[in-house]
Amino acid sequence: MRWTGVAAVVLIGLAAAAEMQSAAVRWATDDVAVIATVVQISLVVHVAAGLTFVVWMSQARARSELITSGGGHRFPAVWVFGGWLIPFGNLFIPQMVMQDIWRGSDRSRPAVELEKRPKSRLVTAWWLCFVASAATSVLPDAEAPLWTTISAALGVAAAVLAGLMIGKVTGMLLSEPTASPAPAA
Amino acid sequence: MGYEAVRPARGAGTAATVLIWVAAASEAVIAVQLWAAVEGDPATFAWWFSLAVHVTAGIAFVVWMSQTRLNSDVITSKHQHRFTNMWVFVGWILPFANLYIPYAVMQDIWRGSDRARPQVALRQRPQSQLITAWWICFMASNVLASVPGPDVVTWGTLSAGLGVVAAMLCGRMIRQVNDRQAAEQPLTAGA
Repeated sequence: MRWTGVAAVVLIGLAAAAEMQSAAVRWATDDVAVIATVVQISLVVHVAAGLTFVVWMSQARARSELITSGGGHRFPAVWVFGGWLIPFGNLFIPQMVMQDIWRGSDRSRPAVELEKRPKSRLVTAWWLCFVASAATSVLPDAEAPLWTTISAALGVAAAVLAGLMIGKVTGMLLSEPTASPAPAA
Repeated sequence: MGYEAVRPARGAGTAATVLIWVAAASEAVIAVQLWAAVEGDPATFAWWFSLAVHVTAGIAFVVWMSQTRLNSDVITSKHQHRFTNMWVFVGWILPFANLYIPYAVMQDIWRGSDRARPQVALRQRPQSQLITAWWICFMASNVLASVPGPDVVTWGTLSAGLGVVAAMLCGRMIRQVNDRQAAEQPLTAGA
């Protein structure tokens, strides 16, 4: 899972860089063929990053269920994948699945039910940036240099937050269980 | 990259139609299992099977869409479409975009396949009510399928019902677009 996480972070970083390049090329040229090539490269990198991230998510989900019973998750495990694909649902399901993975990875509150544990503001911030980046890339005027730049900037912020989130969750999941003085729950 | 002559997309259309029916059937099976299951007992295999079939059906449908898009470019100038060819694919995976863009792309394929109105600009041609009905059912099914929480049985059943209607409308849409593109001569002399 550690290496999937590293691969996801690297690819998400490349995807953000590709968005910046797509924005930069729109300021620099009106050549449709050049823009199309850069956009197609960005598309391929995004798909690769998405697939790697989803594999990491499913591994994290499986491991979090070893730490905390899977019963508290709001969506069945199949929605780790399906949540990204379903129109409308993909505006919020991946965020909810990720919050539950975050809460399920918490070893410090074995006696607290998953639904009652605090959510992560890091996950919320990541999702807001990601969704805002997607929204600004489909505006009627989205091909304009200004909007592609705003969308790319939000994409970069989302990528940084995703990197932090992946690092944090992977760290929580791979940490050795501390010898807790509390009786086994 | 473009086609020089229309190549009717019958093969991809048939494959997409069959797979979309299997996907709709898998939704119905899950709904039945949700009613039958003891509380909190998710029918795991059915869920994963349904995911796999939906992904396969989606790929087949997008292949059919891209073939019919290239055909419509032969019949009517492609520069009149609201979205470039890339969006046939991207429109489905980008959040927000997939609420509307696949529908707009499909309507333009429909209008671009119209041989009866060569002098009318693509965006002035009538849209298909069948496509609108398909998209409304498909989106409503997605919305209901996305509802989390304890009422999943009710919403899941409604969602599956709408999914079956959407599959029916989609099959008819695929056939009609293929027929329009295959017609050698204008279907009607006037109009």
